[in-house]
Parts: sequence; C-alpha cells; structure tokens
Amino acid sequence: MHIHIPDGVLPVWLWLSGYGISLGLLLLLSFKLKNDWKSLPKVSMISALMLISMSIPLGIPTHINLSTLSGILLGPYWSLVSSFVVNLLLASMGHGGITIVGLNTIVVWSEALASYFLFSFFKKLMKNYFVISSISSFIALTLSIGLVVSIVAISNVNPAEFLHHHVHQTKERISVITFASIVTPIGLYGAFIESIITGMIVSYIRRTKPNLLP
Amino acid sequence: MSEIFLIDYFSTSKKTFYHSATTFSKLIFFLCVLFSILLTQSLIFLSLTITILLALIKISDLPLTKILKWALYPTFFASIFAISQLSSSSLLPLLSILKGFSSFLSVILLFSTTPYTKIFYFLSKFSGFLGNVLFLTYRFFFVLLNDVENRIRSLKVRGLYSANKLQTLKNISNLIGHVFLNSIEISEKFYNSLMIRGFKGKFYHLEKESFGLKDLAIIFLGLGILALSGVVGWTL
Repeated sequence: MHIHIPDGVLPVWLWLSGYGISLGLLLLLSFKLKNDWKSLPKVSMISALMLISMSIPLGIPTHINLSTLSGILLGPYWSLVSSFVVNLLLASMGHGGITIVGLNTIVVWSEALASYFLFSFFKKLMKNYFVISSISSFIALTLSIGLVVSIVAISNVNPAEFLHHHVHQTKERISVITFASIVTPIGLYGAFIESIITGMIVSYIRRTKPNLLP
Repeated sequence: MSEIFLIDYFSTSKKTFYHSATTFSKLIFFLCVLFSILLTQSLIFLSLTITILLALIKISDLPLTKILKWALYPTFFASIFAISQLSSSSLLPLLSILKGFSSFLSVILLFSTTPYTKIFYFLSKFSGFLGNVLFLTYRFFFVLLNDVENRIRSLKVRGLYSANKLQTLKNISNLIGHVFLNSIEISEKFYNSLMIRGFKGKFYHLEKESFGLKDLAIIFLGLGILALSGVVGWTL
C-alpha cells in the first residue's frame, strides 16, 4: 500500500517527524552499509525496477510497487535505503508530496520489513514459495494500510485551531472513517493483486535462480 | 512513469534563463516557495503563487498543457483528503487541493529545469552513500525502462493482457521476473566494471556552476514569496 499523500495536507510536525525518523535510521545504516559496495548496484537496480513496475497498468486504480519483494530480496537494511530512494524519485514527478517522503519511506519500509520477517518465518513451516511469499506479502500490505490510516488519524488537529489560532474545538480535520472507507477497499484489492504477483515472481526466481532468495 | 523520462529530457535539453541558473539558487527558491505553500492559510496567496509558478514554467519553455495533465494525479489524491475534510470546514478542502497543486508545480519546475545528476550531486554533499544509490537508481531506471518497453511490446503481440485475469497476472509476473533476473546480471557486470575502474565509493560531478545576477534574482524572488506568505499569515 503506497498512498500518494500530497503536500500541505498533513501537519508540519508529522511530516517533519517522518523525515526525522527515516533520515535518522538512514544515517545509522549508512555507517553499517557504506562500505558494502557490492550491494550498491543490486539495490539501485531493484529500486529502479520498483519505479518501473509502478507504471505497469493493472486495470484498477492502483499499481504494484514491489516493496514486499524488495523486502524479501534485499533484507531489512537495504530495503530502507531502497524505499527512501524510490519515494524521493516518485516525489520528484509529483507522485506524493516532497514533504511526505519521510512518512512514505516508513510506510513502504514497513511493508518490506514485515514481508521479510513473515517470509523467513513461513519458510520454516512450509515449502511452497508461491504460498508463503503471497501470504507474507498480503499480510505486510494489509498492515501498511492500517499504518497509513493511523498516520492520517494522528494527523488530526482541531480544524478551527488550524484556521484561527485562538478557537478550540474537538472536530476532526480529516475524517478518518471517510478516508479509511475510500482507501481500504482500493488498498485491499491492490494488496491482493500485488501479493499474487509477488508470489509468482518469487516462484519464478525460485525456479531459475534460487540463490537470490534468502 | 514516462514523466521521469520527459522531466529528464526537459532539464537537459532546454537552455532558458531558469535552466541556466545554479542548482543552489533553484533549490533555495524551491524551498522558499514550498515552505510558504505549506505554512500559508490564504487562498489568495496560493492563487498568486500558482500564477508565479505557471509564469516561470512558461518562461522556462516547458509544455504547460502536459504539466497540467500530470497535475491531475496529485490533485486526484489531494481530493481524497479534501473529501475527508468536507465535514470539518468548507475552506480546508480547497486549501488542500491548491496546496497539493502548487507544491506539485514547484517540484516539477525544479526537476524540469535542473538535471537529476546535479541535484543528486548536491545531495551527495550531505550523504555520499545516499547520493550513490540515487545516482545509480536513476541510471538503471533508463536502462530497465528500455528493456521493459521492448519486452512489453513483444509480449503484447503474444497476448500479455489476456481475457483470463489470472493468466494476465501470470504474464506480468513472468515479465517482471525476467526483467529482474536480467537486471541482476546487469548489476553484477556493473559492479565488476566499477571495481576495474577503481571505484572508491564516490561518484564525481565535474561540471562547475557559476553564480551570477540571475541567481540572485531567483533567490530574492523566492525570499519575496516567503516574506509575502508571512505577511498574509502562517499557521503551524
């Protein structure tokens, strides 16, 4: 699930926190990964593939983003780098606000992270790579829908306070129920399609180059 | 995703007043405009900023109709939020849509007039590690785009999009799997060629930019917009 939140919708403190968390994590990781030059082309190639896969039409108002596949293939560390780079490049063409890159990085990374750990867990239980990667992918994407709705929910500040400094009311700025009712069905449909595609790609890689899988 | 291809083309092929300004001045202008858009609560100010940005897009010889067509995408997503805000205020949804639209124009103006490589080089001064990944992703994007387009063209003839939806998904998965394996091979070759050429974890950008009067004008215009938004009123 990757929602293209435009600039100016979320409060400044929230998107600044998103940048703070993602850039802080990237800074910590850069000390660990900066000499791993061998992974650099592979990570960049998978990031480029993620960008391109988003342009493949599925006939529905959503697209695949291969974040769960990148999580399985790149692991928890490099998938954060890949998520940030993809979101920054997407923002450069208006797919999501430039201020939301930090938050979107966290959302996309959460998908990669969850799918990586779920895939590793299910791999111990069964041998069918299509099933385990599809289930891991679907659970990870569903969790990220929850994360996006949670981000919107915590973004709520008093609308009157937002427009006039001294008025205090308790009304929601963004109706979470309306937002969730629009986004959840589209997100779940997209998650279903993406998890099947991820399962098929992982099966394909398993058949042709199994050493690339964890 | 053809936008990235065209944005790259516009930024490298055109030679207008705005294109020839330094990356630094355009980034300062972009940040000033972005912050003023984010902080303002004035519809008049946003309309004025949009007018200035559209004028700059026109001066920079960028295709206005195409850019306005691209703007439908962020405007669509802004409208999802706008619908969710209808119950709280009648002004807030309109502000959200105008903010989404104006920030999109500022982003497109920056990236369509400044080559990606220059922006990545600028960012690599803060983090060489991220600069490297950004630069390589950008490079590989065009390598893969060509490959994917050729494969899609040939697969369409053989029924990529079948009436059977499951078969279509299978075809798309095989396509991505194929491209993925090919991309891994390319990345391995690329790594080997980097090592042979003595790569030490850093890419260099040799072109020097000279700061001039036009850069000062661009920076002052940005600061002026930021100051005006302060006069109109900010809200965090």
